[in-house]
Amino acid sequence: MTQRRMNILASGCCGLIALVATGAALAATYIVDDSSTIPFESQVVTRWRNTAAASRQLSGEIEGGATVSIRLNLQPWLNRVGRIYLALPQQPVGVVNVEWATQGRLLPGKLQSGERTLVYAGPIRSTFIEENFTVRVVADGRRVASTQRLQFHFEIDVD
Amino acid sequence: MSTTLEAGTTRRARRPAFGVAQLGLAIALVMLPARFAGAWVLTITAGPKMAFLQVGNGSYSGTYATGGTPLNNSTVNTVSVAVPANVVGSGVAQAMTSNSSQSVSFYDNFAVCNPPSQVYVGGWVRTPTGAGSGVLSVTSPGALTSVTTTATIPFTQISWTSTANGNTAPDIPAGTFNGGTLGLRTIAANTWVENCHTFFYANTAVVSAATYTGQVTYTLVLP
Repeated sequence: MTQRRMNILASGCCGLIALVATGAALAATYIVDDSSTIPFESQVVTRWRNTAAASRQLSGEIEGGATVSIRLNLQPWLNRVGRIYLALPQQPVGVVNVEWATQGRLLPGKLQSGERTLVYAGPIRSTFIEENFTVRVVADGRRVASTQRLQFHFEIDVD
Repeated sequence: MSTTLEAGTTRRARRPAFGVAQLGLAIALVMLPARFAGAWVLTITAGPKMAFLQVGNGSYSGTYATGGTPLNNSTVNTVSVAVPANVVGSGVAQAMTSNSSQSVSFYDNFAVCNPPSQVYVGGWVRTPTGAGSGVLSVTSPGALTSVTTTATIPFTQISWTSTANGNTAPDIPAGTFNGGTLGLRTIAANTWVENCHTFFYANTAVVSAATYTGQVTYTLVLP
């Protein structure tokens, strides 16, 4: 399920605000702390895609893959129901397509830059979710003149 | 991360403490970039520079259209003709034949050439960003030589026509060897260029009976 990004509330706040807080949080979207996530290959070496086109043109797309050890800190939403999304902001090199496979704790899926895709829906029963993503990235090689950083993040919608 | 709940809670507390709720939202927006610092990053590289050239028999792992990639093939094919004694030097061009068996294009396995009369010539280049081009040329020695006579045949006696099944346009133009390096064409990045060449011996001079040989080299340069 791919959705356009919703308005996001920052998940961090200050202690002063916490002092006046009472009751449960409203439904909202938060950025998930994934600071323990580690890509096994931080640099994805790409190759040209081979897909036939008209007039014997060669594909202008590049593709590459990486494995990423995902670790999400869900402690703030423990025992609540939420939906977690993987998101990739729009990129200056145009549309970037991403697909990933998982080992079952999170959902496999795909997204385009500027979108987010559901990777989990249900009750948050543990402080951390750990998962390995096998990621495949496809981009327009004609617009990637040098290395390009793709900064992913996870978002959570809580009920 | 434990502060996340409090941030949301602050919004709920809007009615009893509206001003505080506004402050909480403002602070949240300020802190947004800091949260992104925890995001994970993949860095993708630009597409690699590549070039592929095939003259006669070549090798590919499957076809381009099915995800194949080029393989090395060191074969040097031969083009030849035996000129009957009664027509030597007559000026009647003699069609040559080859030992090439390459009929299909590795682009999509389409039979573009009709060997052995036609010799496949094709190639492509890749550049980061897909801009730029490669330069295809052919270099020939001054003359064909023989081990049994000092007579020679100028390479300018050999020319070729260019066509292909499904594309009669001479994308790699017809020409005549010049005893040096002859530019054939530029090949724009991300374009598969191919043709089938049929060679001819001009047969305009009487030469001693012998076997004359020479080797030409095709080169694709990607700056």
